Amino acid sequence: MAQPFALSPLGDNTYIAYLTTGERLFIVRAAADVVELLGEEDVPGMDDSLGVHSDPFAFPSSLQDIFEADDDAGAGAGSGAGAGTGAGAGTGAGAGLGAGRRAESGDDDAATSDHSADVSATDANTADTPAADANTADAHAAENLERVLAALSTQEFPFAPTDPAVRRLLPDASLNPEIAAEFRKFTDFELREQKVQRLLMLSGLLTEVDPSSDDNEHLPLVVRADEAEQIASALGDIRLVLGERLDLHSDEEAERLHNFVMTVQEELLEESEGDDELDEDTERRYIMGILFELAGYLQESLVECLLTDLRARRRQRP
Amino acid sequence: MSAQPVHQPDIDGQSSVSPDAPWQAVVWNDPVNLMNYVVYVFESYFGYPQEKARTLMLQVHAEGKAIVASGAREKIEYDVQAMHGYGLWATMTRAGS
Repeated sequence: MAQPFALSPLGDNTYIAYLTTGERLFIVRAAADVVELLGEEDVPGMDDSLGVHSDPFAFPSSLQDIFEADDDAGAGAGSGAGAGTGAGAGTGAGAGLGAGRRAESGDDDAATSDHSADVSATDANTADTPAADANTADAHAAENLERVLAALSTQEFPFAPTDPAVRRLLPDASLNPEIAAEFRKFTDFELREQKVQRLLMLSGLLTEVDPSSDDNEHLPLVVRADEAEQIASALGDIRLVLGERLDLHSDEEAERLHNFVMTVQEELLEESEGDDELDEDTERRYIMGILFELAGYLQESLVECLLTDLRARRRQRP
Repeated sequence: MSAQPVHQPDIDGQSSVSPDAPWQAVVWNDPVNLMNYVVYVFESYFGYPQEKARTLMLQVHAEGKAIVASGAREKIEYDVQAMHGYGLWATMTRAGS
């Protein structure tokens, strides 16, 4: 098990934890997966054909699966979002609407060409003019216009993410949907970029040391004090995604997960001689659970270092 | 923290309420974020003293949410974005609403 972050004895303003190579790779893969979620999920205009696992850190499929939303959960319209399939569906829908917009524009031109110029597919100010007209052709045009406007707003304003894990990383900023949408419009990209950047920073630090063939060997993870907050937040984002995939929606459920991980761990230790294998669901939950706990263990100890130094600085200059 | 220009033109027509009515940033409880991390965010970002940060964290934990800042809309927007950056779920709301 990893050793927690502590202030470096060298007095060089770094915090050091010790991890096995397995733990290291585990977190690197998780970080890469969250990066992928942030980069692909519901980003308007994102080309679906880029494929799902183009990332150089791409997970082996077995681990990749761990992070994807359950298929049965994904079947619901609202949450239809695995890391792969859901993102594809989300962006696919966006692209479809975009393509539709162009096609409908053409239709509108044809449909309205013999009417007065009051129906312009590109003029938002005329949005309700054709609807007032009982003429079915105009009603049709209004329908198209609505679709055009919907598609336009889809392209200009970032969606609220459909994958609940991404939504947890980029939550609504208001209970008022209009304010939330407005906020998203101005902050979505910047927040994604911030989160991706520090996840990559975490991966970079984890891969600074050459992997060891001895998986009992704990090698240092060195974090500079001035980047520790970003690393702590990156670990937190990994936990947020895992927490969503593990359906942790209350403090009690988080407590139950902790007990579950401990119990399975003990059972595995006791039965290390035998070859009793965990069933698929238990194993999946256990692996995600261990990673959730490991990231929390590292985050908590790193934050203790940060708090100690922050409070010491404040005492020096009150 | 990057410095960014105020990005919110006041276009949403809420003319019935005084434009300088204060806004509030509310942080909501979640089962994932660690207590010491939430305390750290409140101490580090808002500059709150240790005791105030801890009290707010416990309030979030026990009551499900806490008002962590109030002020002009632009400031609160900035604070909420920062909270989202930290991975906390925060919302902005008009005081008294």
